[in-house]
Amino acid sequence: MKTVLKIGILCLALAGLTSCEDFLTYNKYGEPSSDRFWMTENDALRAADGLYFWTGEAGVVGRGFMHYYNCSDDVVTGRTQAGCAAMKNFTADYSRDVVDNWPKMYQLIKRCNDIILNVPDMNISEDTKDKVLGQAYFFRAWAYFWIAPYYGDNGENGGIPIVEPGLAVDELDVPRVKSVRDNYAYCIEDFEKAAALLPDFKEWGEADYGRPHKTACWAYIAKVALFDAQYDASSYATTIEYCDKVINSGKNRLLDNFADVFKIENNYSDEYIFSSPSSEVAGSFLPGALLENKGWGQYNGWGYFTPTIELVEAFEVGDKRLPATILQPGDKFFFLGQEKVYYSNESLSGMQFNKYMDPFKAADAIGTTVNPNGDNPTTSLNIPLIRYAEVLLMKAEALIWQGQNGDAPLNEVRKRAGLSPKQNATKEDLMNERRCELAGEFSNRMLDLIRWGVAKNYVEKPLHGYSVKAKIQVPQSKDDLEITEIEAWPSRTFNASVNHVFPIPTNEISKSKNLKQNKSY
Amino acid sequence: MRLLVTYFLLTFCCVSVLFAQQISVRGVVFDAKTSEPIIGATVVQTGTANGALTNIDGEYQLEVPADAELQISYLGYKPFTTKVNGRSQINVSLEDDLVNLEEVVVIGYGQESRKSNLSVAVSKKDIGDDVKSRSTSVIGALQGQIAGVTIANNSGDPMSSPSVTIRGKGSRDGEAPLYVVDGVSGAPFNMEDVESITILKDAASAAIYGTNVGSGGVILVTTKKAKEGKITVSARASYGVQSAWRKPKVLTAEEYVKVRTDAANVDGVSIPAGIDPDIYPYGQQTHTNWIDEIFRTGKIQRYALSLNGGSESLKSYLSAEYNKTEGTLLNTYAENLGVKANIDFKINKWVSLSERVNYVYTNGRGDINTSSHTGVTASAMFMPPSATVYEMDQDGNYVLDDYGKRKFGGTVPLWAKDLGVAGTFGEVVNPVATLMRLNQNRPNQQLFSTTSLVIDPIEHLKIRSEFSAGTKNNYYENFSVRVLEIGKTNDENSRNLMYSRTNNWLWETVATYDQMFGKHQMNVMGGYSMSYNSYRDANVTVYNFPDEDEYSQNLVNGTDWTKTKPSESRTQESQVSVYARGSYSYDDRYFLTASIRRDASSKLYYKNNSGIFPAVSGAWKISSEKFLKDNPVISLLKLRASWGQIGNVAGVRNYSYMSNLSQTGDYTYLGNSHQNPILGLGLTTFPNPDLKWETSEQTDLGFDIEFLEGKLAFGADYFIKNTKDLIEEVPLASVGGVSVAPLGNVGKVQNSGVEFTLGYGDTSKGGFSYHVDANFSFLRSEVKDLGDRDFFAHGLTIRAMQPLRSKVGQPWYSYYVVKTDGIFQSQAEIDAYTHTDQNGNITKIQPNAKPGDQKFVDLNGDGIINDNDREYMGSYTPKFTYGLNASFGYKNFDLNIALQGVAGNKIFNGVKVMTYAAGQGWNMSADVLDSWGYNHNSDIPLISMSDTNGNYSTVSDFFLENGSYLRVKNITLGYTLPKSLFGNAPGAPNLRVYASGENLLTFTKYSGMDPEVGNYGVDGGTYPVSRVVSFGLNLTF
Repeated sequence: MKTVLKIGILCLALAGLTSCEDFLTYNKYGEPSSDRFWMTENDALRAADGLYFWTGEAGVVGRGFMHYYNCSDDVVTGRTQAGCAAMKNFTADYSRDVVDNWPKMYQLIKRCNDIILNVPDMNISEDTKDKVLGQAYFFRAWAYFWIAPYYGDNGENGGIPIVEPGLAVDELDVPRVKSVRDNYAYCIEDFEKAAALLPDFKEWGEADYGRPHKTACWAYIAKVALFDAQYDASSYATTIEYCDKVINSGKNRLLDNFADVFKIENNYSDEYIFSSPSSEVAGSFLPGALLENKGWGQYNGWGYFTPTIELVEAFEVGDKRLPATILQPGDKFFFLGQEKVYYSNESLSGMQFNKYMDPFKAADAIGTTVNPNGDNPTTSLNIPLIRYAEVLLMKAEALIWQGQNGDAPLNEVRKRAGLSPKQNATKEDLMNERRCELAGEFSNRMLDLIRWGVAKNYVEKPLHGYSVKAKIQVPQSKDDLEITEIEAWPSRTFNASVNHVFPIPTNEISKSKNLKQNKSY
Repeated sequence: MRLLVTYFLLTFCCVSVLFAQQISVRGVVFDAKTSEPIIGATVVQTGTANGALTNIDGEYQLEVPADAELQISYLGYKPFTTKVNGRSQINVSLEDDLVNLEEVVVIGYGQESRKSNLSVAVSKKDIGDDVKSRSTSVIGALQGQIAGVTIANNSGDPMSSPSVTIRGKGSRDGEAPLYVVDGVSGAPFNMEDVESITILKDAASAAIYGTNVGSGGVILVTTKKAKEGKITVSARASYGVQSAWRKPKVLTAEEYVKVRTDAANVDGVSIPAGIDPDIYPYGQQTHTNWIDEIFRTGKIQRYALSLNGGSESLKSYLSAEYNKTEGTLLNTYAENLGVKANIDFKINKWVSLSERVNYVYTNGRGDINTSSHTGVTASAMFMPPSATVYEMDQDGNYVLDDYGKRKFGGTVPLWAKDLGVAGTFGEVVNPVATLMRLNQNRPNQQLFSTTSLVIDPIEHLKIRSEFSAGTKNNYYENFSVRVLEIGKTNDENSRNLMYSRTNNWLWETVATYDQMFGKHQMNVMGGYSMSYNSYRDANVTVYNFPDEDEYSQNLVNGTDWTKTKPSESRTQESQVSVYARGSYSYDDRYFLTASIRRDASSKLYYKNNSGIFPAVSGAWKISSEKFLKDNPVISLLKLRASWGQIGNVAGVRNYSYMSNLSQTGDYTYLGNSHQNPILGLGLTTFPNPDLKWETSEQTDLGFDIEFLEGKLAFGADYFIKNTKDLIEEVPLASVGGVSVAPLGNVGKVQNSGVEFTLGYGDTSKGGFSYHVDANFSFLRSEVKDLGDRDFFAHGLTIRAMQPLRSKVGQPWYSYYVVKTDGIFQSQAEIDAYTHTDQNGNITKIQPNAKPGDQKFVDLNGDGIINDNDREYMGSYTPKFTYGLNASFGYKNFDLNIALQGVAGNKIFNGVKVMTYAAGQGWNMSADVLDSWGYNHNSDIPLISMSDTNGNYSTVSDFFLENGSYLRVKNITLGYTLPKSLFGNAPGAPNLRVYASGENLLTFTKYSGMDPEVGNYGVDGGTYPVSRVVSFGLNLTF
């Protein structure tokens, strides 16, 4: 009996000693793991394609930083929304999707870093290598520049963290850099590298339109330098140098008609430099977010940021850009195949932006140019992020701020708007031109106001709109409307020493050990 | 292969051993009344240490002199003495000691123990007719029945199941306990077949299951076995109805217009067109009570049938059950069909083979989002009462669709489109439409087979080898129709098909050696197991179907196949374990058990994939000592102590030790004409090859005492459970650049507590019997360590608020909120609430406040109210849980009453966040009629459109409520028809009829629909638990 016991135990022990390694390790099916990646040309191309995920992110190119544009005097929150209202009033609120930008941009930076780390040593064609690395450098710089101006300064707060490629997990929680100027310098360096590697726009071939190209790199360098110039005027020269590179390349021009810039067929026109690619399936829902709340019962518009009378009045008489930019009560426009007379009971300023309305014009728009899913009202209109007109304005600004004459580039923009040329244009002229030309775009007047140091003057004023009532059920013209001017938003308090940067989303502060919140938030 | 050889070797060498060549006495010990064999009875040669225990079939064998005397005893029976007189076969029948009938408890891997001999903390619950008469699941019926076991309904959704927490939450994903069904981990079971449930509460008892346990503990399910004898048939049927016991109250159209107008006046903004009586008088009238429209009375049906019987060599059990439950929300249901067959062959005296096969089919409609602002219950609260369920024209006639059916209505009727009122009521979806449009079909089928071979090669040794194999096929199909009514439109339809299959097998071989030497009794067990699990699925969604009628809802009619890429996933997982356990007891006085298990899992990197989990426990049965033996008052007194460790990898994602790339979510459409949709790859998390087992270590001290031969029983336990190397997503700063935080072994959570049970029962001379059990547990949960972190912020969100954090020194998943200090009654109070900085500057702490707004406590004294002012204010985990169960029998009547409650917990009432705030234009809770604007004594702040003070956007204790409740969980009254009706013949049918009520009464201060909200206590309008009344009958013949 004891023998049995012994044998039994021995057998069990033998079984226990059987090597388990084969039985306990598996290869993964589906998406690859890093040890089977970075090998083929296709791997490099798919890694580069992974740099475009932000184009569908609500918080990036949907409402995103438009919440901070809403802090300017151009717009009010067009519907009652307490979270939006709190941000507009500079009482911190983290409830809206603007908080997504910080994590999404660092995810983009991480993907760029992985490419920059792995692709140079890959045994693939030089052409692919250049294009893939070029995109990685471009988007790394682009990502830093997308968030740095909102959160970083050259003072007490400092810049935003710079994450170098290849850091181990426990080294990743890097602290903020000393100054946002360090961020800008880093961006310019990356954009330079990208410019050297990327082809010209047309060289990509039509199927790859939407990817960054040489001119886009130069335009962004000009813009980064312009932001840097608020701290060091010598950067204006860089802005001018790179604006000239764009201008002198002769590859871009202003479209003849301002309104045409915001048409789907002109997504990649001569004025295009860089946009967020979008489609009726996925992309930016900004057009839907700015559309009339509930789209007159025909589409799920969200009615978010609506223009103020202050913005309307910034346009000079006869400025062709005004009707293309803003729908005012009584304006005629097409919506889903029908001509309508614009008026809104919903918009708190009684108006809405017209820049992104092209996709909604046709009778069959829903499902063709507009996403049928009202939860994600994207359209096939690309959202311009930097366009040729802005390059001209940047050059004008750099010249004027250095005390030189910026009339030539400025008047090119004015001419297209149907306005008479300025002579010896002033800073105020430039500021107003930029406001009118880029209203409702991601270039974001609030950043400009802060950059120019004039935010307080414009923020601490009540903002106005219209209250509109229709006299008949279906108004046929402006005469059928009863329009009253109203105060749409009371004056706010802007504390220049605090509000020149926005609060870093609190979740980010709580997730990090080293990240310091901006002062007094 | 090598394993297979080992297995044969093992069994072969065992059977080839010769039996001892001595004369011996053998026989069977059985119950005089039932003729059932008695397991574990002691057979001793009088005056010597020579003795034996009976095996599972009641058999013993003993070598003795021919003139010896045998003493046969077993607790609960009268001892029996007999002379051998040269006989080689002595069968003994023992008679009941009546009062002292004692339970046998299964404690894992086949070992059974008398309850009075246990050294570990386990609780056993027999699942008899009283439980099966109830309308809940078998696990749901245990709520409030067992000290230290918290069972909570996560929702009233017919497709959800209750959660079980044993001795406090330790780990995020390891909370679900392991179900071991007749010795097989993870096997399915049907309620009808369950005979008893044993919960292994301490680590010492659970440790033998190693890492499969998770941190949650083990639930052993014992099902009915085939029994020898005439075929018995048992049938059961019941029918019941359920309804929500409390529904939320919202404003009528008239009230809404008033509140909304007043709110607009607070901000000095104009009223929207939709509530302007001049523009939209229709909006001033109530047409629908949306809450009443979405709730209904649901029917519950249960049927079961089982057959049992056979001969000694071949016996069989067969059962089938079918249950269908309609939810209290429209169009939701769950159904299941279960079949079990069990055949036992006794091939010869020492080899037996049995086969169990289970088939389970489930289907249902539910699983709907109820717990957020986009959920159905929220929609019903938000929907304007002026709207109608079905679209109506201006004359009040229904508008029909292309198929002649009524169209659903939106927030405003279509005819009002041109009035410019469409946006007034926000993005709300008609909740009746959402429910009625639910078009899921999700048949799931599971087939599970266990074959076990049992060999008793020699006396005292038993080898059991079991092979289980299962396959589970899940199918999910859904058609989402276009939603075109005004509100949140979606002009797109789609069909989604998902198919998944899980295959798994588990092979376990266990050898048990059981021997008694005089007063020494020992039991040794050793085993080996391997398991493998493979999962695969495929998922496809096709969009844009021109027609939506039932027969067109087929992929072939979809026109857009490109929008979503089909997906596929495939994973494999395996585990290898060895384990051993030894038990020793001396003279029924001292008991000692020790076990050890080693597990290795494929989920971890192969270099650190194994863990060792030891356990030890001991007991001293003082009542067996000379000085207490035969004491007339104290019939049992025992002290217990145990310690053990269990592991957990439940929370580990497959392949998490590798650096995995993931495809980006949405296409980006590049190209001049959007012709080039791209989807790239990128890392979304970091690998952690160093990840190791999360370990839960538990120490338990307890005692059991019984008086008056067991009529009165009292037990108490103190435990301390430390979950170490907690597997959690380690918060990583976003600059790290991944969207999913990597997993790590971080920190330690401690749960400690005290449990008491008290039972008293007796039968009076008049035939009245009663039994009352009460249990009470106190639990303290505390995070002890989080590695290099002070806290974890948990991402659970309600309207952008994240109220949960875990911090060292606080309970796991605590509320972290700003404290409120009442309501500002006047501007003077606001002006007086100031902060003075170092330079003497005085600033208002809440500059944006108006009278009627909340006053927030500036905890850190920096003069502004923000996240830094939040503090820890309790958690959803109850400090106290208690239950009371009483059963009464008189003649043919039986009555069972179960009460159950929790105390010392809090709930974050997210419904208030959603239904008190006016900003979105949604309808609101009727509570706002009592807000500060209408009643200055109210604690509900002033309702305003802009909420500049952040009353409803500040995560504050305003939303925290006491979550304590006491429930009359169940009352069941049964009546067994007199046998005389059936002629009193042997084998005459036994028929019992009963009425049962579930959740009959609830006492709570919580203001939401129900205090059992799940979701870590964050209530977003959860599908409420229902009140059920049912009637049924049991028939046995």
